[in-house]
Amino acid sequence: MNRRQLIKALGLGAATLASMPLLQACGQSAQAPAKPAEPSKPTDASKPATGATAAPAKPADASKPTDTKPAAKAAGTPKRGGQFNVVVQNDWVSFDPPFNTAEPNGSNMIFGSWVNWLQDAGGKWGPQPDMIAEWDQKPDALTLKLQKGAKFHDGTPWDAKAAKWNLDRLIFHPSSGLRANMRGIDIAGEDQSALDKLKADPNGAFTFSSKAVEVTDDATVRLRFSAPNAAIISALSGPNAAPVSPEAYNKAGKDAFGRAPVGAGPYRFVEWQSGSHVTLERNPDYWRKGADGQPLPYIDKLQYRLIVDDSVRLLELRSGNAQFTELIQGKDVAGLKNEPSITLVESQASGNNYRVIFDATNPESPFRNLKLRQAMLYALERDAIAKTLGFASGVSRKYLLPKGSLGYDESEKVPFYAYDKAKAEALVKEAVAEDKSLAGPDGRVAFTFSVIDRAVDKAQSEMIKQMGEQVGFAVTLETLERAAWTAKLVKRPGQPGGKFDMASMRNPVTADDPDGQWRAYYHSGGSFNVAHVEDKEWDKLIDDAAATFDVEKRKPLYFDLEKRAFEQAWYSTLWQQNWNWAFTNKLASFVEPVTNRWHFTESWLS
Amino acid sequence: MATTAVRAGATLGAERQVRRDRFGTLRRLLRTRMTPIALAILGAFIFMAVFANAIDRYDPINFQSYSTANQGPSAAHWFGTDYLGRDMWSRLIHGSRISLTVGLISVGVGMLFGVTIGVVAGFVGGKIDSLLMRCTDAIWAFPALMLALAITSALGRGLVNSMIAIGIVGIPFFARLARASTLSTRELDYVLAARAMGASVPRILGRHILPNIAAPLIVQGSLGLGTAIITEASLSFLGVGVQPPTPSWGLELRTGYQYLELNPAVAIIPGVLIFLTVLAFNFIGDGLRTALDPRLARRGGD
Amino acid sequence: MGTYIIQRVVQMVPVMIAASIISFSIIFLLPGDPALLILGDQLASNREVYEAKRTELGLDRPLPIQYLDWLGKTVRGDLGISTRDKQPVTTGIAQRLPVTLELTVLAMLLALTISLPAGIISALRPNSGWDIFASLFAFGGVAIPHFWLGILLIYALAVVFRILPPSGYVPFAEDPAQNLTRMLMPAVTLGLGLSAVLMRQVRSSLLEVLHADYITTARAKGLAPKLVVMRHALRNGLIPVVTVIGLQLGLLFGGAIITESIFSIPGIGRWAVDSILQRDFPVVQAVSLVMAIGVLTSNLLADIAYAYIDPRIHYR
Repeated sequence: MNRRQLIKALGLGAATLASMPLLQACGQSAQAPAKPAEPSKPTDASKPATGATAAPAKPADASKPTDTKPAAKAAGTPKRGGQFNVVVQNDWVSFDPPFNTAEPNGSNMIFGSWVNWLQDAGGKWGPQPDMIAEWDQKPDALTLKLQKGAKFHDGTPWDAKAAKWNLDRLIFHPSSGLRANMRGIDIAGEDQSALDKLKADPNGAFTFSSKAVEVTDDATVRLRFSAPNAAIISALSGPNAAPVSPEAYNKAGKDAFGRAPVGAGPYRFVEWQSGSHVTLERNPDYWRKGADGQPLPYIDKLQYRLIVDDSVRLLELRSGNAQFTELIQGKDVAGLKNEPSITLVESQASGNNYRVIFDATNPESPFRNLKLRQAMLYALERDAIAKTLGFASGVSRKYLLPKGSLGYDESEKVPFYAYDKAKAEALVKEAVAEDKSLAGPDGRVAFTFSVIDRAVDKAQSEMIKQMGEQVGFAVTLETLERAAWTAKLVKRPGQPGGKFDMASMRNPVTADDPDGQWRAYYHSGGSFNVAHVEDKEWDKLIDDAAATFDVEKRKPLYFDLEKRAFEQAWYSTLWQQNWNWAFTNKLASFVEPVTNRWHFTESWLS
Repeated sequence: MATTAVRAGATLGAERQVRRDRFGTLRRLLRTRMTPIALAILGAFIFMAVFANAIDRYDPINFQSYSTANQGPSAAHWFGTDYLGRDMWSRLIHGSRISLTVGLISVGVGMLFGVTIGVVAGFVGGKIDSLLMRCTDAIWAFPALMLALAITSALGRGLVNSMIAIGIVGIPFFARLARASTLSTRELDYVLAARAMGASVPRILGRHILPNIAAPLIVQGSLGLGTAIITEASLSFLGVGVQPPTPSWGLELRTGYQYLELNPAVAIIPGVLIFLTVLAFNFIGDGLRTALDPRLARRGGD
Repeated sequence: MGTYIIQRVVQMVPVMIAASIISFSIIFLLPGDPALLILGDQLASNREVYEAKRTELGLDRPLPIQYLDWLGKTVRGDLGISTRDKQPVTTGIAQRLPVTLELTVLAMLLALTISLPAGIISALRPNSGWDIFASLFAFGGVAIPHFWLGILLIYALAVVFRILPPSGYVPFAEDPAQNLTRMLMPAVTLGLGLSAVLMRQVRSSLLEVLHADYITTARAKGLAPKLVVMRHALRNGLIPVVTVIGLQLGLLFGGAIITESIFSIPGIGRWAVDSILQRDFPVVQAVSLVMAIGVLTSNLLADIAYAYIDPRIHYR
């Protein structure tokens, strides 16, 4: 064979190989799942987590919160000094609380909080005084008595003027992430021209002064409400509400301040190197005192380092380079529990909920049909998903509200979607029989399932795809980066996007007031209502519940919400991974926070 | 006329004299030390890809039972199982189809466009040559992976788009090669003679230029296959290449990386497969270079 | 010599312009709306604010004008503001580029340390056991996907044996020892492939030189073999190696992308990946341009070095 022939032979071979995909494509449709598939064994419903904790503190009438310190694992005498390294998973966007659209990642150590949501001595979760020493909530007014002796890191005092400025910003700034939560405040009589000026220049100094927030004396402010808001204290405990130094903000402007924040918390901001780390140092003038009579905190320096990859974070922790991290994946929890130098704390009250959403308002989506939504939900085997993805830390979920939250009560027998493959198949057949246009030429209902590019979400999507295909759907998986996923789901006036079939998302659930979550994700005005639900009855239930102070009257409203969620099948929670924190044994007095509002004020390194 | 052709032919003929025996090229190919082994390895992978359905042991896409997830190699699962309990052996065998397909198609795309651009630039010369070469140089200036990443992000993730992306990224490489070969071939006596005789452009291209540039192209094509496979694995590793549940070696490495402590086999084995395939292509490419290059053939060394 | 340099630089200009056009245009290929991303969900739902932002960014003007505008700003040093963290892109580059450069330089040094001696010995003893071993290393080194190598190293050295830290970056100024320890695995990961290529190049070009006539003459004249090698062969044999190094720098940049991702090193490569995936448009434009310029410059330097070392070119 000479050169020419060799070349020809190679070319022929290459062409044959290149036609493989065609052969494969032909082969695949003819190839039914021929391999024997062991049926997955459904496990028993996992035992409910113990110690589900409380409803939020009842605010009914004048309430002076008990002045108990947050529950802490006392462990000897505190030692001062040292540097504490935390590895975090998500990059920071801005350190200015109301404008931070990303995870707070421990920014609360710079600012403190109006109130901290922590456990009391008895283990009950509720608001604890921080920047506010006392509060008094009546349906038409909220009076806040400020903590005495607190100063911002730039030396300016924490007084009623500063508090009012912060509240005004939370309520009235156009980009404030907390606007929806500050409901019911009497904003009717505000100066419209001043508001317009604010809208025109939102990035400059904030000089708007409202009538709804009043300064009654040097250390007291009063908010006037035109409609009751039972969830306002909970809203103020959130990381997006934290108070900042007005002077520093006005001097620097919105964007620059977000990169060089000034608060009144136990740690001062030192530097933020984008994509790498954030360094905080001890605030020597912090108002709270430790056991030795000196100001808290005990630890000198906090460094938060960004490591996106889960496995690498774990390695850093194990090797001792980092001393704290959270959200260890289910698969690694068992291994970490055996690590002698590391302590793992699993939360009973917080977790990451994984849920699926349908776009019922999309006229081109098969999920405009209720039966198909129900079919998909019946087809999902939540226990299997929870076990496979969460290992021992994954728990399947029936309802939208997390266990332990106000409004969650198993004895109420609110209906939920249990795994029922036969029912799912029947529903699909019924739906297609009624409306032929729902199915494709092969008789299957085709849709696209959009997920965010995260390991667990993607693995979950593979499982869901398979479950859907077993009952008559044809599922196409679409993986998107978070920015692209948001763009696809969220509706904007005059913009493409906002149309999808089915998507999955993950969001933290906490032990604080449920209104925060209902509102953001499920209310028609919510900032993250990606299912585009606009149901008046639904909204009314949420609003009424938020305005009801009496806990016994609030509960049935949330039960009704769950019932409606079941009927309409717009979304469903699949499973929850309990939140966890893993840290070196050297850390003493770990205070369990709400998700990632880490509370290192009272901790020390032994 | 005939004499000129004969004289022109004689120059090349002297080269051809050396390899008059029919199996010379093939023999030389095989004589290069590692080529037989490489061919055997490649043959095994091709066999794997073609007969994947016959030799897999379980369904590669649908999981069986979650209780068998993340196991190491055993009798039941030769390469272990992945995070959803799927058999790794079956998945990796089907993955070989993807890898080989991606390699071939992306190199094909790159060659097709690259050679066209390069030959046109080399043959026509002048301003067009300048323009085309500046453009390809500009594409060449960007790191390949970054460009491929941007293109797949633009077109959407997935197998087909990553093939297009890798193909595009490879264009400058083949363009340069084709151009250089065209330039040197263009000046050969017998080509000049053909042009003087008034042969049409397609005839010249087809009969003279292309056959002579075929040799270096094949060599580089073979090496390019290896690079394409690694690039596809890199894209899948970053998450923008092949999407689950389709198995691909790069994708398995990605999940292997995530489950490194639980089940290291998943991180190691796909890498071995990629390594062997690319190694095989490199050896073959090197062997082809020796076999097809007359100069090296004469000296017998490298 | 001077004219040669000027010639090459002039040749480079149109390529740089074409590269800048590509850098600029990439973002228009990527789905996603810059104004939307900068404003964030809530603000963008307000029509007026959204339109105002688009005008401010100049997105309503024709593309060529936008390009010239961008080019003008870039030349003046204004690379825009990152949509993710609102920081000027120049600051981001200033923070990250040195990291990648350090990684690249370390990888290159490592590669040279391995490949030069190995290649020279291989060339001096062709077809020996050592040569075969080195050839295998050369082939193997190019075939290993370097992210796999990185994973293997992490597994072996950080998980199983716990000798080295698995990731992260400590600035050299802050702690040189920590810095180098953390850079060791990434540098090996990045440099191994390069050392394989270089070794082969060193070997083959030295072989070619060693068989050349003037070497035979020198030997015939009775010069000691070692002297022969050192003075003549190396000098001439290493010329092509310089070019290869220059060309490989571009590949190193590409390799740095994945290496930085695996080892969590805050360099430019990883920044590029994150920005592309998260549609941080100004960063994508700027970083791709920086990388392209880096590659072109290193090619230019390699050519100039080649011209300088190779005496034959002087008389062109």
